[in-house]
Amino acid sequence: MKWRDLPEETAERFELPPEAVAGMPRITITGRSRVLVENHRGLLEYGEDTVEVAGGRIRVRIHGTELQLRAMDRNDLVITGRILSVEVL
Amino acid sequence: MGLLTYLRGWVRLEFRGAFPESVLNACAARNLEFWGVEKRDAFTIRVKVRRRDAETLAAIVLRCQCEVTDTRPCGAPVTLRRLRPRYGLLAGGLACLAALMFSSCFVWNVRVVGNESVSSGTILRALNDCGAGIGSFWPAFTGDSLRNELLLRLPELKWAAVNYDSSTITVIVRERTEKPDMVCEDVPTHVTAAKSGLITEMQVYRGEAVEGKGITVLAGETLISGVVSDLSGDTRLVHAVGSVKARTWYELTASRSLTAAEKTGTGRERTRYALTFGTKRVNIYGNSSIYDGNCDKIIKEYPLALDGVFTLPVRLVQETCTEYTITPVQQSPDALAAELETQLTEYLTDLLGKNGEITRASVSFSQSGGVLTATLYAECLEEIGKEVPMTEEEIRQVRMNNTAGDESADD
Repeated sequence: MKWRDLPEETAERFELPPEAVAGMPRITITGRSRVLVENHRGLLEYGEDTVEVAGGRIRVRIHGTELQLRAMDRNDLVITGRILSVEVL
Repeated sequence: MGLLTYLRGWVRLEFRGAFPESVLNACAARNLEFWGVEKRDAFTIRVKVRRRDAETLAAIVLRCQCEVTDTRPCGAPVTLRRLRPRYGLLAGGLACLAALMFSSCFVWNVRVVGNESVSSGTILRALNDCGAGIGSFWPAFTGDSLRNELLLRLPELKWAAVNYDSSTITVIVRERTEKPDMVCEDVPTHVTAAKSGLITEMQVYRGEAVEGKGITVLAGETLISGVVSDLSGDTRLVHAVGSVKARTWYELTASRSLTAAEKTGTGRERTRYALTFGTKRVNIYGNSSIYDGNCDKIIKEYPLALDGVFTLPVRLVQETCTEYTITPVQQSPDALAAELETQLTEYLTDLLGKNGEITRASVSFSQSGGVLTATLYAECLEEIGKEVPMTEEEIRQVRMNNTAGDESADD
């Protein structure tokens, strides 16, 4: 186990929510039209077809059409539009 | 975009840089509210922020190694600022508003609702006599006083309400129902035959039956007598009541010409307009309203009003005249015969009313001199009993007979 995986491993061992302990992003997809990303670390790319969000050690890429950043603050952001896929990189 | 946002106003800011998303991240980190994010191209983003946050955002843009390419304030404050130097327009708007408010104190439209036999014209005339008509100053009246005066002037009404809303008076009325004829039980009567017929059913509730079932009677014959004999041999007078049903026969005739007049449009149509200011009419055409030949005249009025909000004293009147000629048309005898038969049957049904029915009917047709004649022969079952008050002579005769009987008994 690598040192950087420790928080995630700890959360798993102690059955704790990783978004609270390890600061991992939590992604909530509502239907086909809304994605909520909590614990994000900022936008990496923003466009009508692709939105990429930084989430610490991972990146979340949302593909779709007419995507729009509906709301954003330091912890959460909401993307609306026609969602085709959500990738975790 | 909400109304509140529009009223508060916003600034649309466009920035350009190598990584414009960093500006959005910086805004989110500072909890700076933004919306309407639009990516113009790979290096340009357009966002909307509150007016007070515009300067902060411009500073963030510079700090993120980007540059502001366009700034445009939007919303109600900008619109108002743009309109501020136009004092004439503002004054005109205020003058219109004042005129509208002044105009709403006057009556420009009267509507009558709920009348059936009393014509709207009668009610409008009565209302005019009360002083309320087109152009009246409404604050001089009250709905209650007008209603009371209206009820005094029109005894045919049992209830009325006068409502005023945005220069329109609505008069709601309910008409008085006629009192039914009262039956005076003290008046001695006979039940006589209203029509000639063959009695099929007879029920006597009060009085003495003169005729019976299976007897043929003529109109006017007494069926149930109001003179009743008692066990002592005396007679007394009662109000005879009973039900007598009889078979009756009808023969009805109707004629109709086989040639009928039919309207045929010539295709010529004229439309003219006029304006009505209060009660004064201004024609927007030169010649008079007299037309040559036959024409249908359709008049439509369009009041300048927004229903429930205001009514202005101006109406546009549209008059459309469609010319037609009358041409004689030969009708089909079969269709005409069917029409006559239906009309005769309907007429007979009306004649019988609720207390009768047609049991058998036949129709014969004859044609002579371009006229079709239909004759309906019908057998009906109906109530023929009719209460008829006794004459003074009859009453006196019965009383004299009673007195003579008493004297002979004393002797």
